[in-house]
Amino acid sequence: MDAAEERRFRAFVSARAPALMRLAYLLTGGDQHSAEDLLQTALAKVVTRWGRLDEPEAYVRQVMYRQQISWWRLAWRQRETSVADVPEHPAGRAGTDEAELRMILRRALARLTPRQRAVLVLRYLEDLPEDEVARILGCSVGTVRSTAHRSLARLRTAAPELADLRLSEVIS
Amino acid sequence: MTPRMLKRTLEEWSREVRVPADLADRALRRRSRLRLTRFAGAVSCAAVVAAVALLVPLVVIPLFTDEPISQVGGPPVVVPVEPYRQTTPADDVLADTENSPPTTMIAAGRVAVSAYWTGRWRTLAGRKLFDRTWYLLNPVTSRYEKTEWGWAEVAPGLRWAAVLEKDLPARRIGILDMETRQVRAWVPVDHPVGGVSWSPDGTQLLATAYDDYPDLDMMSVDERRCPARVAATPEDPRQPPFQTISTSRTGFYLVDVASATAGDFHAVDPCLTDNSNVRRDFEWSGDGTLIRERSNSDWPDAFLDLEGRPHDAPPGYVATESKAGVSPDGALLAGPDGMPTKVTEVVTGKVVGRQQVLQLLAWADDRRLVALGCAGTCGNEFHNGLVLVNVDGEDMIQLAAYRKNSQEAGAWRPVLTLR
Repeated sequence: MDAAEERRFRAFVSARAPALMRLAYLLTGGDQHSAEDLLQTALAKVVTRWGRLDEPEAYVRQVMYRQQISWWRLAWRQRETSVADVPEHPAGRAGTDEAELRMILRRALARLTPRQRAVLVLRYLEDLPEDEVARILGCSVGTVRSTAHRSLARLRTAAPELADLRLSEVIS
Repeated sequence: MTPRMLKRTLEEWSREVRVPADLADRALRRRSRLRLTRFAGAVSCAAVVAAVALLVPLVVIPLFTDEPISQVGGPPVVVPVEPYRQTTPADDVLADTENSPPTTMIAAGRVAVSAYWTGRWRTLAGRKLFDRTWYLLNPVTSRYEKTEWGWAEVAPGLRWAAVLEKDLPARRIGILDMETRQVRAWVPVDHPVGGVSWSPDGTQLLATAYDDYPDLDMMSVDERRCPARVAATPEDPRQPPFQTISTSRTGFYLVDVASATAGDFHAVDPCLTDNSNVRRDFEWSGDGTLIRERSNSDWPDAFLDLEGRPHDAPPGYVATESKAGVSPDGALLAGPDGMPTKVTEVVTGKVVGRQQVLQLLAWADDRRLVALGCAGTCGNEFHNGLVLVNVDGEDMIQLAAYRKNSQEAGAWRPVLTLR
């Protein structure tokens, strides 16, 4: 990498770091340190291919998704955020506003496995179709579908107060 | 639970993340580490075990550090600041002539509007003081953003800013990461400070200490008499037997930004310079080896060494009459306020060009200046704005919208910084 390429790489990181850090943060279940680690590892891989990548950001994202799942699969390091306490359950639906429900949902999301979280982020944040999610994660469409199903079921278990909302809309 | 709620939850959650400032550096260092690790592996495959044993400690270990933890033999590094190096910007000229104050980045050649401020007088406990609101450039979005800081000074290179909290003088100095908008480090000081200035190389701060609000109206400050430096004589009846000053300035600190540490406090007698201002911030000399305080009378500018001791002016020092001063190549000198203004050769004093502008503010390069121009035929000097003008005065580009009245309360004031 020569000086001009390094400048372009720095400009790319400078421009895209906020969005990439947000993704890394979600994939690591809201763990700042792990998110930084995940993104810098992905960026280090990009550096070695810089100049040969048509879409460096797409590559960084793919590396992060796969890296996160791979770290988790290998149990190389504990990547999942531990949530020791059981999520708080409000007394009932009445009086539980949407902001509160989103907090409950967030705690439930933190309890998912990295793979489950990755599938939900790709499907519901990035709005990608199942076949595209499968391509990014390097697995079959069937695996994506079953993982999404299990992820949502786990969310319902972790946060029962969400169960009586329109779950059917999620399982699309 | 709907897809919309799931999406909103994820979006909301993701916004809590902090974006580190040095991701590119970390990735580049890790790349080096990967490369060296691979190299070490190749060597070990060749069974040159002894060579690896020597190579790894000598070469790999320093590069294995992902975080800048410490310098060899020096204090810990907490701000990865690097000496300023001028680079050629991708966009030579960036203008925003539609919005006043500007919303998008203004720049020309080597300088940019790194910040601007607006100010208003207010009364507090019977005293009038001037409050600034600071708007700092976000180099990631190239837009200006309102801040809550009481004072801000952007470093050359636009990567870092020094900030002070409201209610000056402040007891700590923040080193703000301009990209993440987070304070990377706080530097506590025993003597509160009211102004900060970056060294020309962008690695140190000169913080001026005050024991009262530095932007008080002069009538709200108790005057103090200093002994006259030259006795009144019959030949100079205008010289009073004393001079009065109205400042609460006490001295200065030099801050090492990398380690976020302030050195010793240096008390400086405000009577050393004839200056009637209340805010009397110290400045760096051009090469960063001395500290300067501009005089606002016929007395020459004063210089101090970095310990606060009076010092002679640097050899060949040219007292400038404009903010722009001497051109980057040292050949030309921007003249005093106009209109018109003029540029002269430093060596000969020959006028090389006149410009139909009000003030020469900064050199964009050796032949162009960022200046304060005025609208139309300049029927009203306060209907003015930033322009880029050639030394010969023939080409002029408008950089910012003309303010209808630069003197009115709340008018925005640009701050120019090397980019």
